[in-house]
Amino acid sequence: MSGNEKCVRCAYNLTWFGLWDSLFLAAFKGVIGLTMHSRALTISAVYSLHDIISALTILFGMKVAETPADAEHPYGHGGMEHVVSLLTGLIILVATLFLLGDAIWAIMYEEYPQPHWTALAAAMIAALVEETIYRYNICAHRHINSPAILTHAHHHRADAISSVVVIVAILGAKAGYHILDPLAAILEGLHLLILSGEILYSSSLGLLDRSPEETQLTLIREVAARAAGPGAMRSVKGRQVGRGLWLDLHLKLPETLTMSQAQQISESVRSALRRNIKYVDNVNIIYE
Amino acid sequence: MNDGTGGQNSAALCGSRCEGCAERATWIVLFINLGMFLLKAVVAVNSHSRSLMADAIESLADVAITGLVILTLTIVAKGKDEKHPYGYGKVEFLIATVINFLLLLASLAFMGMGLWEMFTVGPERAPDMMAAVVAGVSIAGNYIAYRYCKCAGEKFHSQALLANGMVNWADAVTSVAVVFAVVASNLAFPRMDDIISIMIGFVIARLALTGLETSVKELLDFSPGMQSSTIAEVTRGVAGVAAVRDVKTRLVGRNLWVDMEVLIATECTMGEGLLVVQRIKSRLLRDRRDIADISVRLAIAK
Repeated sequence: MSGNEKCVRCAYNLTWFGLWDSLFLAAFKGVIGLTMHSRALTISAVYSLHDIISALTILFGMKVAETPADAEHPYGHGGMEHVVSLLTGLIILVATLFLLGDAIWAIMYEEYPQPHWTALAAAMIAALVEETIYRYNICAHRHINSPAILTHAHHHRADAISSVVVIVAILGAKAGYHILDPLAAILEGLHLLILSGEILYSSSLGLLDRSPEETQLTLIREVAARAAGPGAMRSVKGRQVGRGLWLDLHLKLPETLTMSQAQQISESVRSALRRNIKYVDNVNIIYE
Repeated sequence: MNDGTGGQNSAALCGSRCEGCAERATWIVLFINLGMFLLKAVVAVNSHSRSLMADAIESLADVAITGLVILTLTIVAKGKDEKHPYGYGKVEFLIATVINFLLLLASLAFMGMGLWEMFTVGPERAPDMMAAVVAGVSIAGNYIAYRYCKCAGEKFHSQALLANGMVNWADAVTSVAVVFAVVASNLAFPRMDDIISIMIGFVIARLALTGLETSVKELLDFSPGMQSSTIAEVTRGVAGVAAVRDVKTRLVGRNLWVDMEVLIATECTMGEGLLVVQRIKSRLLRDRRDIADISVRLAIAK
């Protein structure tokens, strides 16, 4: 096995390993946080939940997107990835709001149960595991240049930092600064609110037939205009369907042209767009 | 003296009155539901009735659903813009998905808490009879809202208003169960209030799950029933059309978007082809008022 093949295999295994690790850490931190009275550690479990969700969305989304179009869904099932992302984003939002409310309540009414040393040990284990996985991911990214692996690595680094914040909060609580544990929970909760807001925003955009960016539309117009000939290009609109782009292109061709000539122009526009624009799934050419 | 236009005038008067009524219906129902929720939640806490609390959650769901109808109508009215060239019709499905999912989570949590309390703590005391009185008020309020929505919905063929009315009807039935639970808990079955509350939670969870299934399906460019084959059939009958293939329909809000490939004779010119497209569009738009957009790709029949 060559060095690069070994790295690709390692990267693939890391995705699965990262998923199992996040599952373990979500349960581990959640249970110990609740039973050992550390709000900061409990809310830190939601970070691991966030990682599970992003991994599952990738795996599940890839699987469902492969399902062919059927009578009820003639445009395919690509949008399912956004639906999974939307629903899981809602779960993170609800869990975060609940834990955030609890931490604010604790500060308002000065209810500070002393976190147990076990919570500190759990946070240290979590920080160590997350940092190790981060380093493995960075190594794999350096060798195979995968943006998905890099994003995944940053998730794990963020989790490691969150566990360090928990360690500081528990040590502070042990030293008599009881407010630190719920305060750390609030800080982490606010960060999680931003994360879940981002998930909900991007998945909603993916589901609402949002147009591609203006720069991409300009490029599409230019490519189509070159292929169709002078003055033929009228307008273009597009929408994201899953990971692919569906385009509606309006062309104005001379009325004396035969249909066979018009079809030749359409074919050359289609193939030019497929060659030059990424992720084009379908091009509808409509004559005006 | 009757000049013969009296009938028309009164019909016109009734029409404008009904139109105003339909516009007001959603807002009136929203306030009835909001009032019901607040009344039931406050009395449920004070009278220790879990079943009335479950009923209050159902009223909260009604508030959310009615709010959804109003919000959707407002957003959809914005039409198309640069960022959303296909309009905002799918917002309705997106908001319905979010509401149904949150409702499902709330009902599951409520059922879980109810089961936990039933098997670990048990009823500390029977709920006060006041809970049954409030449930009685809820039956009356929801019945009025149901009649109001049904009348306006039937007059204006609005599925949203009719669906809203059915939600209120379901809420009235739930309140009947609450009256039974509170009375039975006070007479001889102390756990009846808990049991009914879990049952109501189950009914809400089922409703939310069904709603979620529908809204997710609709979010994914749903093609309803036999629409594609009916549209293909009509298009085939238009002069100049040799064949129709790849007819796709998708629901965007309450309207249908149609996309199809039409084959015409090889010897046709572009001008003749465009005439065929015009004929197809005017035929379909004349027959089907639910179609918002038709996109026809011309190709040659070999």
